[in-house]
Amino acid sequence: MADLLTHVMVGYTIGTILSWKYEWIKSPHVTMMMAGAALPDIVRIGLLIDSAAVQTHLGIPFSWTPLHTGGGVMVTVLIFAALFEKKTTWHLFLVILIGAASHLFLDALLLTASGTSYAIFWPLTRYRLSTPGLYLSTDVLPAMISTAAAFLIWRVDEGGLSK
Amino acid sequence: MMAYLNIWMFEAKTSRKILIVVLSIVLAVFFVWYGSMEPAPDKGDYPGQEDLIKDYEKYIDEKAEVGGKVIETDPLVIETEYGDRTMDLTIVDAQESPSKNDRVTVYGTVRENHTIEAENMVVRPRWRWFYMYGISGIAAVWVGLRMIEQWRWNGKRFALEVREEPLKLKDLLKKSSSGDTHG
Repeated sequence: MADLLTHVMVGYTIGTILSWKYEWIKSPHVTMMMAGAALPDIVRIGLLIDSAAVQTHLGIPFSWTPLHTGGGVMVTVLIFAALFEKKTTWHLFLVILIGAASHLFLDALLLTASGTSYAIFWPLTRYRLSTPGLYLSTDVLPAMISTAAAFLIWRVDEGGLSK
Repeated sequence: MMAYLNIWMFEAKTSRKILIVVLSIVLAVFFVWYGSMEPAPDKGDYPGQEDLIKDYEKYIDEKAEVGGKVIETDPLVIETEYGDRTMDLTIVDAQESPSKNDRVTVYGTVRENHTIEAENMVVRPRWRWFYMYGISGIAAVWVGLRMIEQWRWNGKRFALEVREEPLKLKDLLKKSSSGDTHG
Protein backbone atom coordinates (compact mmCIF):
# COMPACT_ATOMS: atom_id res chain seq x y z
CA MET A 1 0.00 0.00 0.00
CA ALA A 2 1.24 3.41 -0.90
CA ASP A 3 1.32 5.95 1.89
CA LEU A 4 -2.01 7.44 2.93
CA LEU A 5 -1.07 10.99 1.99
CA THR A 6 -0.56 9.98 -1.64
CA HIS A 7 -3.93 8.25 -1.73
CA VAL A 8 -5.73 11.19 -0.18
CA MET A 9 -4.03 13.69 -2.52
CA VAL A 10 -5.02 11.61 -5.53
CA GLY A 11 -8.59 11.42 -4.19
CA TYR A 12 -8.63 15.21 -3.84
CA THR A 13 -7.22 15.71 -7.34
CA ILE A 14 -9.66 13.34 -9.07
CA GLY A 15 -12.59 14.72 -7.07
CA THR A 16 -11.78 18.32 -7.86
CA ILE A 17 -11.25 17.66 -11.57
CA LEU A 18 -14.55 15.76 -11.73
CA SER A 19 -16.29 18.66 -9.97
CA TRP A 20 -15.50 20.82 -12.99
CA LYS A 21 -17.54 18.53 -15.20
CA TYR A 22 -20.22 17.34 -12.77
CA GLU A 23 -21.87 20.18 -10.96
CA TRP A 24 -23.29 18.03 -8.19
CA ILE A 25 -19.76 17.29 -6.96
CA LYS A 26 -19.14 19.88 -4.28
CA SER A 27 -16.46 20.19 -1.63
CA PRO A 28 -18.17 17.70 0.76
CA HIS A 29 -18.20 15.14 -2.06
CA VAL A 30 -14.50 15.71 -2.69
CA THR A 31 -13.98 15.04 1.02
CA MET A 32 -15.87 11.77 0.70
CA MET A 33 -13.79 10.82 -2.34
CA MET A 34 -10.69 11.41 -0.20
CA ALA A 35 -12.22 9.23 2.51
CA GLY A 36 -12.94 6.58 -0.13
CA ALA A 37 -9.33 6.80 -1.27
CA ALA A 38 -8.26 6.09 2.31
CA LEU A 39 -10.85 3.36 2.90
CA PRO A 40 -8.89 0.24 1.80
CA ASP A 41 -6.22 1.12 4.36
CA ILE A 42 -8.58 0.24 7.22
CA VAL A 43 -6.82 -3.08 6.66
CA ARG A 44 -4.29 -1.43 8.99
CA ILE A 45 -6.64 -2.35 11.80
CA GLY A 46 -4.35 -5.39 11.84
CA LEU A 47 -1.71 -3.20 13.52
CA LEU A 48 -4.05 -2.81 16.47
CA ILE A 49 -5.83 -6.14 16.43
CA ASP A 50 -3.52 -8.77 15.03
CA SER A 51 -5.04 -11.37 12.68
CA ALA A 52 -3.01 -14.05 14.44
CA ALA A 53 -4.41 -13.03 17.82
CA VAL A 54 -7.98 -13.17 16.51
CA GLN A 55 -7.24 -16.57 15.03
CA THR A 56 -5.93 -17.92 18.33
CA HIS A 57 -8.73 -16.31 20.27
CA LEU A 58 -11.59 -17.57 18.12
CA GLY A 59 -9.94 -20.79 17.06
CA ILE A 60 -10.87 -20.21 13.41
CA PRO A 61 -8.81 -18.99 10.44
CA PHE A 62 -8.85 -15.23 10.18
CA SER A 63 -7.30 -12.48 8.09
CA TRP A 64 -8.02 -8.75 7.68
CA THR A 65 -6.57 -8.79 4.16
CA PRO A 66 -9.99 -8.88 2.39
CA LEU A 67 -10.38 -5.22 3.40
CA HIS A 68 -7.69 -4.54 0.81
CA THR A 69 -9.12 -6.64 -2.04
CA GLY A 70 -11.64 -5.68 -4.72
CA GLY A 71 -14.51 -7.65 -3.17
CA GLY A 72 -13.86 -6.53 0.40
CA VAL A 73 -13.54 -2.90 -0.68
CA MET A 74 -16.84 -3.16 -2.57
CA VAL A 75 -18.52 -4.34 0.64
CA THR A 76 -16.98 -1.59 2.79
CA VAL A 77 -17.94 1.02 0.18
CA LEU A 78 -21.54 -0.25 0.28
CA ILE A 79 -21.56 -0.10 4.10
CA PHE A 80 -20.24 3.46 3.90
CA ALA A 81 -22.85 4.42 1.27
CA ALA A 82 -25.62 2.95 3.44
CA LEU A 83 -24.87 5.70 5.97
CA PHE A 84 -26.43 8.28 3.64
CA GLU A 85 -30.09 8.89 2.94
CA LYS A 86 -31.71 7.63 -0.19
CA LYS A 87 -31.63 10.88 -2.13
CA THR A 88 -27.87 11.20 -1.81
CA THR A 89 -26.82 7.55 -1.63
CA TRP A 90 -26.16 6.98 -5.30
CA HIS A 91 -23.91 10.01 -5.72
CA LEU A 92 -21.96 9.25 -2.55
CA PHE A 93 -21.66 5.58 -3.44
CA LEU A 94 -20.08 6.62 -6.76
CA VAL A 95 -17.76 9.16 -5.17
CA ILE A 96 -16.51 6.77 -2.47
CA LEU A 97 -16.15 3.96 -5.00
CA ILE A 98 -14.03 6.09 -7.34
CA GLY A 99 -11.79 7.06 -4.43
CA ALA A 100 -11.42 3.45 -3.29
CA ALA A 101 -10.77 2.25 -6.85
CA SER A 102 -7.97 4.80 -7.24
CA HIS A 103 -6.42 3.35 -4.08
CA LEU A 104 -6.53 -0.22 -5.37
CA PHE A 105 -5.12 0.87 -8.71
CA LEU A 106 -2.18 2.78 -7.19
CA ASP A 107 -1.36 -0.11 -4.90
CA ALA A 108 -1.32 -2.55 -7.83
CA LEU A 109 1.77 -0.67 -9.09
CA LEU A 110 3.78 -1.09 -5.87
CA LEU A 111 7.17 -2.76 -5.97
CA THR A 112 7.28 -6.21 -4.36
CA ALA A 113 10.06 -8.74 -3.92
CA SER A 114 8.24 -11.48 -5.83
CA GLY A 115 7.08 -9.18 -8.61
CA THR A 116 3.44 -10.05 -8.09
CA SER A 117 0.94 -7.63 -6.65
CA TYR A 118 -1.96 -8.44 -4.33
CA ALA A 119 -5.28 -10.24 -4.81
CA ILE A 120 -7.02 -7.20 -6.32
CA PHE A 121 -9.94 -9.19 -7.79
CA TRP A 122 -10.55 -11.45 -4.79
CA PRO A 123 -12.96 -13.18 -4.21
CA LEU A 124 -13.59 -13.47 -7.97
CA THR A 125 -10.07 -14.77 -8.36
CA ARG A 126 -7.09 -14.80 -6.05
CA TYR A 127 -4.76 -14.38 -9.02
CA ARG A 128 -2.14 -11.73 -8.39
CA LEU A 129 -1.17 -9.62 -11.38
CA SER A 130 2.49 -8.89 -11.88
CA THR A 131 3.35 -5.37 -10.79
CA PRO A 132 5.42 -2.81 -12.70
CA GLY A 133 7.01 -1.98 -9.31
CA LEU A 134 6.95 1.78 -9.72
CA TYR A 135 7.35 2.74 -6.06
CA LEU A 136 7.32 1.65 -2.44
CA SER A 137 4.92 2.79 0.26
CA THR A 138 7.96 4.19 2.06
CA ASP A 139 9.13 6.25 -0.95
CA VAL A 140 9.07 10.03 -0.72
CA LEU A 141 8.42 10.76 -4.40
CA PRO A 142 4.77 9.57 -4.69
CA ALA A 143 3.69 11.89 -1.88
CA MET A 144 5.66 14.79 -3.40
CA ILE A 145 4.24 14.34 -6.89
CA SER A 146 0.66 13.80 -5.73
CA THR A 147 0.86 16.78 -3.36
CA ALA A 148 2.21 18.99 -6.14
CA ALA A 149 -0.59 17.83 -8.45
CA ALA A 150 -3.23 18.42 -5.77
CA PHE A 151 -1.78 21.87 -5.05
CA LEU A 152 -1.88 22.80 -8.74
CA ILE A 153 -5.47 21.59 -9.13
CA TRP A 154 -6.43 23.46 -5.97
CA ARG A 155 -4.98 26.70 -7.36
CA VAL A 156 -6.78 26.24 -10.68
CA ASP A 157 -10.00 25.45 -8.83
CA GLU A 158 -9.69 28.47 -6.53
CA GLY A 159 -8.84 30.76 -9.41
CA GLY A 160 -11.85 29.52 -11.31
CA LEU A 161 -9.71 29.17 -14.43
CA SER A 162 -11.80 26.24 -15.55
CA LYS A 163 -15.12 27.98 -15.27
CA MET B 1 -28.93 -0.95 -11.28
CA MET B 2 -29.54 2.50 -9.88
CA ALA B 3 -33.28 1.95 -9.42
CA TYR B 4 -32.56 -1.48 -8.05
CA LEU B 5 -30.33 -0.02 -5.38
CA ASN B 6 -32.82 2.68 -4.51
CA ILE B 7 -35.96 0.63 -4.29
CA TRP B 8 -35.14 -2.07 -1.86
CA MET B 9 -31.83 -1.13 -0.37
CA PHE B 10 -32.03 2.41 0.83
CA GLU B 11 -35.74 3.10 1.12
CA ALA B 12 -35.77 3.77 4.82
CA LYS B 13 -33.30 3.86 7.66
CA THR B 14 -34.36 0.40 8.84
CA SER B 15 -33.53 -1.17 5.51
CA ARG B 16 -30.19 0.63 5.56
CA LYS B 17 -29.49 -0.76 9.02
CA ILE B 18 -30.39 -4.27 7.88
CA LEU B 19 -28.15 -3.81 4.86
CA ILE B 20 -25.23 -2.78 7.08
CA VAL B 21 -25.71 -5.85 9.27
CA VAL B 22 -25.89 -8.16 6.24
CA LEU B 23 -22.81 -6.59 4.64
CA SER B 24 -20.92 -6.86 7.94
CA ILE B 25 -21.68 -10.57 8.01
CA VAL B 26 -20.39 -10.84 4.44
CA LEU B 27 -17.18 -9.13 5.57
CA ALA B 28 -16.84 -11.51 8.52
CA VAL B 29 -17.21 -14.47 6.14
CA PHE B 30 -14.51 -12.90 3.94
CA PHE B 31 -12.14 -12.62 6.92
CA VAL B 32 -12.49 -16.30 7.75
CA TRP B 33 -12.48 -17.40 4.11
CA TYR B 34 -9.28 -15.52 3.30
CA GLY B 35 -7.67 -16.70 6.51
CA SER B 36 -8.31 -20.31 5.58
CA MET B 37 -6.66 -20.07 2.15
CA GLU B 38 -3.43 -21.93 1.57
CA PRO B 39 -0.67 -20.27 -0.48
CA ALA B 40 -1.07 -20.60 -4.26
CA PRO B 41 2.29 -19.98 -5.95
CA ASP B 42 0.78 -20.61 -9.39
CA LYS B 43 -1.45 -17.58 -8.77
CA GLY B 44 1.42 -15.43 -7.58
CA ASP B 45 0.49 -15.93 -3.93
CA TYR B 46 3.63 -17.34 -2.31
CA PRO B 47 3.96 -18.73 1.20
CA GLY B 48 4.79 -15.94 3.64
CA GLN B 49 6.25 -15.74 7.13
CA GLU B 50 2.89 -16.84 8.54
CA ASP B 51 3.08 -20.13 6.64
CA LEU B 52 6.76 -20.72 7.38
CA ILE B 53 6.28 -20.10 11.09
CA LYS B 54 3.35 -22.51 11.17
CA ASP B 55 5.03 -25.34 9.27
CA TYR B 56 8.51 -24.67 7.90
CA GLU B 57 9.28 -28.20 6.67
CA LYS B 58 6.24 -28.18 4.39
CA TYR B 59 7.72 -25.46 2.16
CA ILE B 60 11.33 -26.62 1.80
CA ASP B 61 12.58 -26.19 -1.78
CA GLU B 62 9.55 -24.06 -2.61
CA LYS B 63 9.40 -20.36 -3.40
CA ALA B 64 8.39 -17.99 -0.62
CA GLU B 65 8.06 -14.26 0.01
CA VAL B 66 8.85 -13.22 3.55
CA GLY B 67 9.21 -9.90 5.33
CA GLY B 68 11.05 -9.07 8.48
CA LYS B 69 13.48 -6.92 10.41
CA VAL B 70 17.23 -7.21 9.96
CA ILE B 71 18.81 -8.39 13.22
CA GLU B 72 22.23 -9.42 11.89
CA THR B 73 24.07 -8.31 8.77
CA ASP B 74 26.88 -10.85 8.43
CA PRO B 75 25.45 -13.31 7.73
CA LEU B 76 22.20 -11.57 6.93
CA VAL B 77 19.52 -12.68 9.39
CA ILE B 78 16.00 -11.34 9.55
CA GLU B 79 13.44 -11.79 12.27
CA THR B 80 9.98 -12.53 10.94
CA GLU B 81 6.90 -12.58 13.07
CA TYR B 82 3.39 -13.88 13.06
CA GLY B 83 1.30 -12.96 16.07
CA ASP B 84 3.53 -13.48 19.09
CA ARG B 85 5.65 -16.10 17.37
CA THR B 86 8.89 -15.20 15.65
CA MET B 87 11.34 -17.02 13.42
CA ASP B 88 14.86 -16.00 12.45
CA LEU B 89 15.73 -16.64 8.83
CA THR B 90 19.20 -16.54 7.35
CA ILE B 91 19.27 -14.95 3.91
CA VAL B 92 21.91 -16.23 1.52
CA ASP B 93 22.77 -14.88 -1.94
CA ALA B 94 21.36 -11.49 -0.91
CA GLN B 95 21.34 -8.86 -3.66
CA GLU B 96 21.44 -5.98 -1.22
CA SER B 97 23.24 -5.26 2.01
CA PRO B 98 20.72 -3.77 4.40
CA SER B 99 21.64 -2.34 7.80
CA LYS B 100 20.45 -3.52 11.15
CA ASN B 101 16.79 -2.69 11.88
CA ASP B 102 15.97 -2.14 8.20
CA ARG B 103 12.83 -3.84 6.97
CA VAL B 104 13.30 -6.25 4.11
CA THR B 105 11.07 -8.40 1.97
CA VAL B 106 12.75 -11.38 0.40
CA TYR B 107 11.61 -13.56 -2.47
CA GLY B 108 13.48 -16.80 -2.86
CA THR B 109 13.70 -20.52 -2.24
CA VAL B 110 13.11 -22.05 1.18
CA ARG B 111 16.09 -24.19 2.26
CA GLU B 112 16.77 -26.31 5.32
CA ASN B 113 17.95 -24.78 8.61
CA HIS B 114 15.75 -21.70 8.32
CA THR B 115 17.57 -20.36 5.32
CA ILE B 116 16.19 -18.50 2.31
CA GLU B 117 18.11 -18.43 -0.94
CA ALA B 118 17.26 -14.94 -2.13
CA GLU B 119 16.34 -14.18 -5.71
CA ASN B 120 15.12 -10.69 -5.14
CA MET B 121 14.69 -8.39 -2.20
CA VAL B 122 13.27 -5.01 -1.28
CA VAL B 123 14.89 -2.99 1.49
CA ARG B 124 13.25 -0.18 3.45
CA PRO B 125 15.46 1.78 5.84
CA ARG B 126 14.03 2.29 9.28
CA TRP B 127 13.56 6.06 9.01
CA ARG B 128 11.41 5.56 5.90
CA TRP B 129 9.07 3.59 8.05
CA PHE B 130 8.65 6.53 10.43
CA TYR B 131 8.25 8.85 7.46
CA MET B 132 5.47 6.69 6.04
CA TYR B 133 3.51 6.53 9.28
CA GLY B 134 4.13 10.25 9.86
CA ILE B 135 2.68 11.50 6.58
CA SER B 136 -0.08 8.90 6.71
CA GLY B 137 -1.05 10.29 10.10
CA ILE B 138 -1.14 13.82 8.67
CA ALA B 139 -3.37 12.58 5.84
CA ALA B 140 -5.75 10.89 8.28
CA VAL B 141 -6.06 14.07 10.35
CA TRP B 142 -6.65 16.17 7.23
CA VAL B 143 -9.47 13.97 5.96
CA GLY B 144 -10.88 13.68 9.47
CA LEU B 145 -11.01 17.48 9.86
CA ARG B 146 -12.64 17.96 6.46
CA MET B 147 -15.23 15.33 7.39
CA ILE B 148 -16.04 16.99 10.72
CA GLU B 149 -16.23 20.46 9.14
CA GLN B 150 -18.47 19.49 6.25
CA TRP B 151 -20.52 16.54 7.50
CA ARG B 152 -22.49 15.72 10.58
CA TRP B 153 -24.05 12.56 11.94
CA ASN B 154 -27.81 12.75 12.37
CA GLY B 155 -28.61 10.01 14.84
CA LYS B 156 -32.36 10.43 14.46
CA ARG B 157 -32.23 9.81 10.74
CA PHE B 158 -29.27 7.44 11.02
CA ALA B 159 -27.49 9.34 8.28
CA LEU B 160 -24.49 11.46 7.47
CA GLU B 161 -25.60 14.88 6.28
CA VAL B 162 -23.85 17.87 4.76
CA ARG B 163 -23.73 20.81 7.15
CA GLU B 164 -25.48 23.83 5.66
CA GLU B 165 -22.84 25.97 7.33
CA PRO B 166 -19.46 24.27 7.36
CA LEU B 167 -18.19 23.97 10.89
CA LYS B 168 -15.17 26.18 11.34
CA LEU B 169 -12.73 24.42 13.57
CA LYS B 170 -11.14 27.72 14.50
CA ASP B 171 -14.45 28.96 15.90
CA LEU B 172 -14.89 25.74 17.79
CA LEU B 173 -11.49 26.10 19.43
CA LYS B 174 -12.18 29.74 20.28
CA LYS B 175 -15.48 28.76 21.86
CA SER B 176 -14.02 26.07 24.05
CA SER B 177 -11.10 28.23 25.17
CA SER B 178 -13.44 31.06 26.22
CA GLY B 179 -15.05 28.66 28.66
CA ASP B 180 -18.36 28.24 26.86
CA THR B 181 -19.04 24.58 27.50
CA HIS B 182 -22.69 24.70 26.53
CA GLY B 183 -22.19 25.79 22.94
